[in-house]
Amino acid sequence: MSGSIPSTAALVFLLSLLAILTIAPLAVAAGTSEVSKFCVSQVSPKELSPAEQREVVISIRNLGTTEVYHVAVEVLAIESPIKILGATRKEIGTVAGGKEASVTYEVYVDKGADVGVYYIPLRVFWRDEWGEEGELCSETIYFSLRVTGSLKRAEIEVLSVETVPEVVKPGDTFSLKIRLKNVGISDARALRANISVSSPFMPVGGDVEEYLGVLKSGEETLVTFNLSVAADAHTSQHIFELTLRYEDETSRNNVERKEIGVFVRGEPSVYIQEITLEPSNLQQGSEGILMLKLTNVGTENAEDVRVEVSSVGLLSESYYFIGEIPPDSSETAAFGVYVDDDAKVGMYALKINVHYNDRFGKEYSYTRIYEVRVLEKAPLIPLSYVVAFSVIAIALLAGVYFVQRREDEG
Amino acid sequence: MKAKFKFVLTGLLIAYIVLLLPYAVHEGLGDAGVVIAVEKLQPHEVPEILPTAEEGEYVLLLLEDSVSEERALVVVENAVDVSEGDVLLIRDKTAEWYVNWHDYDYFGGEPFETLVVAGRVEHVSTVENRIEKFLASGVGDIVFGLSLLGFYLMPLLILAVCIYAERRFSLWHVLVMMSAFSLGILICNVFATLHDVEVSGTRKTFGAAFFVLLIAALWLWKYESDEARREKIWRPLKAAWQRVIELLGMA
Repeated sequence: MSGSIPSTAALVFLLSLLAILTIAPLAVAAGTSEVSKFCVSQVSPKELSPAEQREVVISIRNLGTTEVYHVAVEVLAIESPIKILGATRKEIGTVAGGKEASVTYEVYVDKGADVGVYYIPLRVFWRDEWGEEGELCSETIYFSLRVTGSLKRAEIEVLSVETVPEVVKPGDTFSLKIRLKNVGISDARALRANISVSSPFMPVGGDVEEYLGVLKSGEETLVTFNLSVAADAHTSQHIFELTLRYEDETSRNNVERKEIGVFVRGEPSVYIQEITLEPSNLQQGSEGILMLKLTNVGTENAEDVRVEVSSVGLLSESYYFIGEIPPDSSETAAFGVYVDDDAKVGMYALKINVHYNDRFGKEYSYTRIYEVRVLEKAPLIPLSYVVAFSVIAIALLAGVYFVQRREDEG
Repeated sequence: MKAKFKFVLTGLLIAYIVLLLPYAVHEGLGDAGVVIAVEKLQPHEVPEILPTAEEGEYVLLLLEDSVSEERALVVVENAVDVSEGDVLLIRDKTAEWYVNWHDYDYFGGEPFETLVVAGRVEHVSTVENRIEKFLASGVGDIVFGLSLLGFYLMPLLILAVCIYAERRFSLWHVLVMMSAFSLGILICNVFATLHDVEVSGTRKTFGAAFFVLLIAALWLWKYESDEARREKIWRPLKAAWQRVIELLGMA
């Protein structure tokens, strides 16, 4: 029994040794073909957009410590929206241990490519010795490219619309200032902005199309159109169509249409067309009437029209309410005039304030001064009569004197 | 007697001129007044008054007449060196209106009579300034009243003194009285002319007539000194007066 155990152990040992000696070279041999020799160290750019075509640089690194020769890479054909344009195989040459080498591919991404990361197989070939003597090795490694969400194109947005002056009234000439921004990825080239102008608007001193040139991605620009609006334009929001034409990386004929709103606000404009004072010459103690003819020369109704006249005791009332005056219409306000007997002689200023509102409740006022002359009350006996009487009396006295003197001398 | 009369007459004339000065100076200054308050103004604040005014610095002055105490709101451009208490002369008036002072209440409820738009204002001379301030003082009214009274009554007083001195009425007495009154007018006109204050044609003529009246008075005085000549004038005058009385009595 004791003699069989050592012999069994020796047999197991020998078999194990044999197995190790048999398997080890196989394992080593298998290691030269299965263990990765290369890896992808860098891809630039990593992100592409649908419909984008550009060069992608792929760098691979030799993970070994020894040089490898006749290195080549080949993108393997697979079903992918990312297409390699041109040759799929690229020769690199010798790559030292731990070093990198790069290849460049022209890549195109399908327009309809879904967003996501695509892994593309890259087969790397090399020989461990120079010439044909070296064993040809290869392995497949992967590099990734991300397809982002939008097309690589320009996109113009209207940031703001302003008018100068801010409030556009009928009959005005104004500047329409539109601020545009390219919010797309691509530059917009040969950008032209065209605005549709129709009644009651007219272009002034220029065209309805502006050439803006290049608008780079993320940049803003201001386009200005000078327009006039007809005097009879109604109060409302008027819509212009802004057409933007440009080229980008996706197309040479992009057209975007935007709607621009301009509010034309008519307003009432009440003026004193005529002032009538009856009688035209006021004297101390006289009475009369002051009539003001108010005309609305604006384009909107003047509402709640009222007139205030401020003076120093010349008027029997100082307030007159008219109400509404439509455009191109007139109304009359009348005030009684009464001049005191002891009123001072001279010029009086009547301060006439006209107040009115438009239909939006905005208040307007208009002030002007009207001069009234108050003359001295005519005396009971006119001065001219007194003078004439005095002259006659003096002449008479002189006559009597000279007659008397002649009689005395005689 | 004659020397005493001449002395009294000369004294009266000097007193007349001295007494006349406050009245003549004040009248000669026209629309001048003492500055009560000053405010700055932008034209757009009163567009109805300054409709064509461009942007600039306008000044509102509240002026008070030192005698009548009437106040005026004066709108003037570029009155830079004006301060309260100054006596200013208004120049180049473009408007003067009686207004409701509440419409232009820029001085916290200080009332005024008229609103004046003027091209400029001027400071008056030191003497005029002092006289105006004196008239604006507490005794100013009395002084001005005396001056005004002197202006009208002193010629009559001169007439009375002349009649009293000769114990009879002569024609040259009337001419002396008129000369005195004309002299007063002339002095007033001179002050007014100094400040380009408008003087009526009648006033100008009467003021200038002083010299003629004076010469006439002296000539008539000489003429009437001779009793025969005096009789030549007065007899027909008396007879004519008698005839007028008769005629009026008949009527």
